[in-house]
Amino acid sequence: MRHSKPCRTLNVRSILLCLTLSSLALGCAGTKPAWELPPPPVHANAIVAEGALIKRTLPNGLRVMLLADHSRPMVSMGLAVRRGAAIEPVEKAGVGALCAEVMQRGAGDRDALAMADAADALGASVGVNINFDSVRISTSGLARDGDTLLEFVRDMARKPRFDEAEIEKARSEQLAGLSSSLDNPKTLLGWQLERTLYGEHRYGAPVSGLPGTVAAITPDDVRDFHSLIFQPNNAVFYASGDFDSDALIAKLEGAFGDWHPGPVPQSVAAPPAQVPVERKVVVLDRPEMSQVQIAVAHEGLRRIDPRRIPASLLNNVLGGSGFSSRLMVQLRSNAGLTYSVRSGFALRRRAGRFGVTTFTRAKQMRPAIELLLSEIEAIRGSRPPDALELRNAKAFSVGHFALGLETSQSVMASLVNLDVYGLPEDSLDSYRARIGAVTQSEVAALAKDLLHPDRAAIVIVGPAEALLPELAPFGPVEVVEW
Amino acid sequence: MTSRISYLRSGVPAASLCGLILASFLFAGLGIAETSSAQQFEDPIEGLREITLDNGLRVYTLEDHRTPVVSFQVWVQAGSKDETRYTGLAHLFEHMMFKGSKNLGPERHAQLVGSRGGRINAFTNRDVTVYHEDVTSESLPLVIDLEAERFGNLDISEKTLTSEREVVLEERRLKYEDRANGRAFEALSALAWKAHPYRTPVIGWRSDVAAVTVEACREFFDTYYAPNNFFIVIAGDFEAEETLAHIRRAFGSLPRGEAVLRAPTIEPEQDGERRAVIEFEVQAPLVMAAWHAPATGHEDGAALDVSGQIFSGGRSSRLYRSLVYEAQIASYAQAYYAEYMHAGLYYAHAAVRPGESAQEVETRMFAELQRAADEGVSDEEVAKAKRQLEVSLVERLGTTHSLANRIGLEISFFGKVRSLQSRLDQIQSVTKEDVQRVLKKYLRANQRSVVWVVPTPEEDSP
Repeated sequence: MRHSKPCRTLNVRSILLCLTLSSLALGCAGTKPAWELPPPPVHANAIVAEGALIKRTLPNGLRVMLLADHSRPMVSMGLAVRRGAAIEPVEKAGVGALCAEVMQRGAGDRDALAMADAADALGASVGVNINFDSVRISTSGLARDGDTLLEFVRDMARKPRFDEAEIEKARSEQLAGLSSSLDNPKTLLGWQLERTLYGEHRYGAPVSGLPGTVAAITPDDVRDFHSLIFQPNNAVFYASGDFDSDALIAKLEGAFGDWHPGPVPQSVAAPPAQVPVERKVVVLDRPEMSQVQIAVAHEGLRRIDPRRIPASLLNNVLGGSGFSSRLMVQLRSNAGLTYSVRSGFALRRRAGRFGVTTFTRAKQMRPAIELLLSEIEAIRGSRPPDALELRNAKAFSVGHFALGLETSQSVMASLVNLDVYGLPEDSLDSYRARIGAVTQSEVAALAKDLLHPDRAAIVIVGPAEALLPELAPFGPVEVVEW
Repeated sequence: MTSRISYLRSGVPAASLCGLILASFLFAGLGIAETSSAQQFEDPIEGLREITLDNGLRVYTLEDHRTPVVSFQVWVQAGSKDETRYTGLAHLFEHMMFKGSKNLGPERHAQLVGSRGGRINAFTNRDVTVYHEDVTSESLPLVIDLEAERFGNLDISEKTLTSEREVVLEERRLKYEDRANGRAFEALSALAWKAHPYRTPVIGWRSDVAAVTVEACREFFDTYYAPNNFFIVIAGDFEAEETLAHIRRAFGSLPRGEAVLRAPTIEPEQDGERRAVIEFEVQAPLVMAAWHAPATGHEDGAALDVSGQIFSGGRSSRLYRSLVYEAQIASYAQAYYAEYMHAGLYYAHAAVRPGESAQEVETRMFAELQRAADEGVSDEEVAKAKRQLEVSLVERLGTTHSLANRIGLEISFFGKVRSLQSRLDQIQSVTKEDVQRVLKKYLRANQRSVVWVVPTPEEDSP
């Protein structure tokens, strides 16, 4: 049913309250500039209005999440499974990425060309994305095309054709894409970083695999990957937008009701608990580059680690909150060494990395690395986050959280992300309270526990010959090529 | 507030809806994709208000209370086309705007917005410089005061210029000098435009960025950052009357500047194909071409947009199918119309698969474009392209940021915001004959500029 007036289900907040808050702030602004006033209270609206999120589980175990939103005549829907590239054999790394691509090249009654024609004729977007922990089919288009979008989702999840000719074409594109990636220094930095940290663990190669592993994949590997992870009891169907929830549920029973459950594959083995064990420097030689790409990294956290909230605040203070972060102030604003520097935790089912990345001109590489390391050292010792920094870090997280949930589509994306890790959906609503509860001493202790500049890997992409003398003070240096 | 125009589906019971959707799909499957000329969308822009302060500052407000966020944008009518002595000045200046003012230190503005969780950034292009902040509603007063502070009291000093110059040179290395496609686009603009200021890269030539002076920055600020040469757009959850009163207090005292004089240069007609080859260490060579095309708002614009979808809109598009899918000689291939305030370009570019020939990619890409110009396109292709353009217009109604962006762009280009319906009508009016006509008119070989990025050839042995 359409609502009679525009109404996003993501909670329409009280206009009255809004006016009151605005009036208070504006009333004061007449005398002093707003930056000299204490921040006004943040309105803690419910992210999903009560009753708006509809959850069901079909008898075969398929979970369903629906969030109707009639503000625009659009609909997004898809299906996510709780396993991804991390379960691939290392020697076949990239099989999931290849599978995700070929799922879009023929499913059900449509071959590759028919599928492309049908999607493009609706102006719809149809995609399959994979990361280490999940594969997600996603579609979006005009609401009136919802039934066709549902067909796409059903067919890609249940009846991909996996024609050999398409697998070969897609493989050849994937290989070409990997070769082209060698032209991008940032991509190379990321690849070398993961290889340095995780070696032969699956996390040691990108989701897309590497040329040698992609070449080793057979068509049966692709089919097996799909049938292994696409089980209804391992999946969630989701939709947001302009639809009638009851009618959609009835259609879902038709589309997925006879899909038989199966065994869910084991999760990936844990990577080494501590990598590297001592400081080391790895240089990927690119003689033609005038700029040096820099990463400092070591092991980090799991997505479900209870420390992830205070860790995110620690990261905001260090290098995760743009211009407010210490690293940005030091490296960009004060020293003019770089255009950008950032830190972050790669949160996966198993512990991903903690890393800081930046870039600078070759002759400034050494001071840039020294500054990076000294800032990491300082936050875990001589200069832990102070009260104001922690307050700002919290406000940053809370504000970004609200901005990131402006549309029903983005709310649903967050809900699916929680579902993939088996986290409860009400953690969206409790997020702000959990941020608020973090203490200064908690963050200071965490800095000591989680940050280890003394045994980080320093990975460099740049002209090795010019850089080597500058790198020696940081630890044993290894030069590699791709 | 907005009046509500019903969308096709409104009031249609779910059961008959299935029939509609099915019919739509069957048509598409038969290659007779349904057009949607009868379709009408609600356009939030109908609630847009405009006021002009005594000093010439225009303020556009659009209230939308669905979620507690606001987008605040300042659109300065100065881009790289307005640089006279130092290229890159408009963009460098965008950086200087974050370096502090009379009452706030370097980066404090961005830090204060960041510490409220706001998203703050800016961009410069050929025509405009835009400062934008997305914040939760309670932080709007902060943003207004911060913007008024830097537009009124900016600190332009040797110290801040020196450090920011280095930052910009790092940005230049990152995006242009160490990147094949950055180099290619830089070369292509300089090749296609011989006279018009659009020929210079927005980030500027290295030597100009290295040499620009504080005096030049001050002069640029005085000329272009006067209230009669920028405007403010606010969209989202706020109350217009109170906000406007705040803006009057904060910006009302800025002095009006002199009327801005713009460069009169018009690009002379191109008199033959132009070519350039860039030698650079690449695995995947690039082939890029551009033809002169009309400035934004031209009556041929919609047909050119439709043609772009036919060439590159999705996996059924002509260039993807021919070069990527069938011949497997390119990693991607696309062609599209890019419109700027005073001129446009029609681009076609492709990445050559490692081991394949740039010449073969170019030949095949140009042959596809020529075939469409010679033989025309089909009704099905036109219908499909129109639908893709319509969906992308509707998708952009989603966030307050995209709404504010649309307002700013349209005001900059046209002095008014075109309604969604008028845009849809323009798209719907395009025929296959129009598409063929504009391709013949603009994609002529003697109007073409072509750039290749290829690896340095191995030196011959002595």
